[in-house]
Amino acid sequence: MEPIAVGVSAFMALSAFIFGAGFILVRQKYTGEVAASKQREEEFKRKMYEAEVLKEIGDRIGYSLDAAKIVEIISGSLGKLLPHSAICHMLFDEKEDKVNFSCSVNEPVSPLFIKDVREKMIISSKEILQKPIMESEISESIAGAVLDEKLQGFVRSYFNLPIVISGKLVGMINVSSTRADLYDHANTEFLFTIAKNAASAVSKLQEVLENEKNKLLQAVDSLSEGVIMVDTKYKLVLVNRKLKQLLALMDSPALFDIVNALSGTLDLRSLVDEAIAQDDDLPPREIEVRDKVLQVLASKVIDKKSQKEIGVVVLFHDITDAKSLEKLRNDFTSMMVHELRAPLTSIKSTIELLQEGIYKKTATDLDKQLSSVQSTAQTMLEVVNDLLDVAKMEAGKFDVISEAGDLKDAIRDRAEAFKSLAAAKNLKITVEIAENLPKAYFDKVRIKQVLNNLLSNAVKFSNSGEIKIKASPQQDKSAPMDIVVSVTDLGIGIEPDEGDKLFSRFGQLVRGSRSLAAKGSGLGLYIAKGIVEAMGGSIWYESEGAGYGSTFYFTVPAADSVPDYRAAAADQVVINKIARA
Amino acid sequence: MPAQSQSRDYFKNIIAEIVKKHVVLYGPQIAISKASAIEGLEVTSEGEVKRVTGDSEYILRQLLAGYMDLSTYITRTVFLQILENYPENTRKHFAFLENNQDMEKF
Repeated sequence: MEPIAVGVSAFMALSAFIFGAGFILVRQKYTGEVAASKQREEEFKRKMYEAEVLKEIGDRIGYSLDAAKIVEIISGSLGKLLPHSAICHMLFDEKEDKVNFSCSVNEPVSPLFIKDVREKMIISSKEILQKPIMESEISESIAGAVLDEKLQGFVRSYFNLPIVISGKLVGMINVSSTRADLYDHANTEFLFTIAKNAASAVSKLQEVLENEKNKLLQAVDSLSEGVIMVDTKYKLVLVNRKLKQLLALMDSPALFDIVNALSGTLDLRSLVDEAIAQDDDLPPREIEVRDKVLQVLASKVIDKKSQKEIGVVVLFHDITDAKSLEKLRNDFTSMMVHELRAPLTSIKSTIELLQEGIYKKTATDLDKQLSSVQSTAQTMLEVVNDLLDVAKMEAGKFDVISEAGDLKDAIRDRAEAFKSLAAAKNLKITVEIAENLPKAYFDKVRIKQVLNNLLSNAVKFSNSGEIKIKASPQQDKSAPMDIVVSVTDLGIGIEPDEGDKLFSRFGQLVRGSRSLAAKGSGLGLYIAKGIVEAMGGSIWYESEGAGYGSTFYFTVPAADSVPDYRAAAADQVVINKIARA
Repeated sequence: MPAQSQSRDYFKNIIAEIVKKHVVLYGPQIAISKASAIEGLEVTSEGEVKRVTGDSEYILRQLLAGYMDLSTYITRTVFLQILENYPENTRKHFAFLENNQDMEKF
């Protein structure tokens, strides 16, 4: 062959090769792109399908707080996403110590297959729960394809999907197959994402609810009444701090502890039954426990949605103080009746005596008997005046009109007035007034009422010795100057436990009972306190105890320390009203 | 043995324990595929750690992060349990896990 022909032929062959190779490369590239595109399309389709299933799961879960429902929903949807022989799930009921094992079998498997799945789930759960799971705790239900004992297939692929909500394992899902190498991290990742997201949502929702529940519990805990709630199965739902305090219960009492603490004064179970049976609230009942009087109110709690009874709330209201007050009121009423009836009887008897022999009586006798009537009527008038003053105070209509003046004049005047009464009991009244006593700011009429009360008490509760009245200026640090007046006696003194009630409306009931000579409304100190405080002062007492006498102190503002007085003319009058509940 | 080298051995042991635990918890395929995805970590199909190449502490942290994708709570709990058996010197590398109470609970 000619060299030129050879060259042409070689060139042609090379061209054909290049063309062929190029064609193959282009074709391969095209085929590769088609395959990649197909793969992308399949991947896209798979993602779309996963998204659909995820949405379905999300919609079905909604705002459910039921962990079991969430596990069942996820478990029920997995079959659409992954090849499997069986999908099983376990639900852990911590309260009841129960485990529910359910399986949905997709294709015939042997019973050993299910046993193997169950074993794998138990081992995994034990690791998470950190406690053994007893066979007796597990209840089992298998549904779907029939189990075939002749089949030999064991679990060759599986994975567990634990569902943990708020740090607790609530369930576990297992997907298993008789075929090998079906599941890996790539094709199951999204399932773990679903489980995590669902658990996260529920955990957050539970946290919100728990916070709200805590707020309610705190509100119940801070109530001033004792509260318990019992459900329809007599299970204690809540007990608040006040009840634990009232019944001296430990921190987390059981219903038994409460029943025990009530020591037979209340049949709680019957009360719960009764409350559930009744349409209306039960009438309140009173019980006495640990020296306390408790009013017990029970009412059933109805679920708003189902309109069914879900329990009973029992309220324990401490009425010990109210009861004591009621007793004091009754005693006070009896005392007042006696204080008014005795002089009335005396007046009636004297008048009857006068009527019987009025013409036979000498002028001296008549004068004596009429004086007795006048004195008795005066006593009655004083009692009635005290009662009226208290009524005015409580209505906020008791006026105290303060003005500048010499307190020493008022003190000396009252000391003089009581001298004869004191002398009749061999008591001596002495007055000691500081030389530099400044002008005071007080109600000149009402101050007499205060001094009268303190002096009459001193005379009333003393049988010997001296009654000392003192007045001196006093200034503590930067406080405005006060004048302190004290009345000291060597009489029956004051017991520490009666001191608290001394200035109350019924204070004299106790003290009066210790002295037969004590007469009157017993409201004097209560009125005195009201007057002193309305004038801007304070009143208190000191006593070493019964038999050691007592000293009553009260303060009156010095006129110079009262801004109104300084600002206005010396004769300006300021009206303070006593307003009491 | 120098302390640093001892720590590295400890990290390798912890890696092996972590993988084994997760095999039990989730099943071998998922636990092994997660571990195998970490560069420098070779795991057998039985879940045995064959080789750890490079910074073993970094690999352990990567492994934990991978398993935490499955469940933060479970991995953290399991890891802290395993860590209890190791000296203070090793534990302190992961103190942030012990102290962080606000970590997600699931």
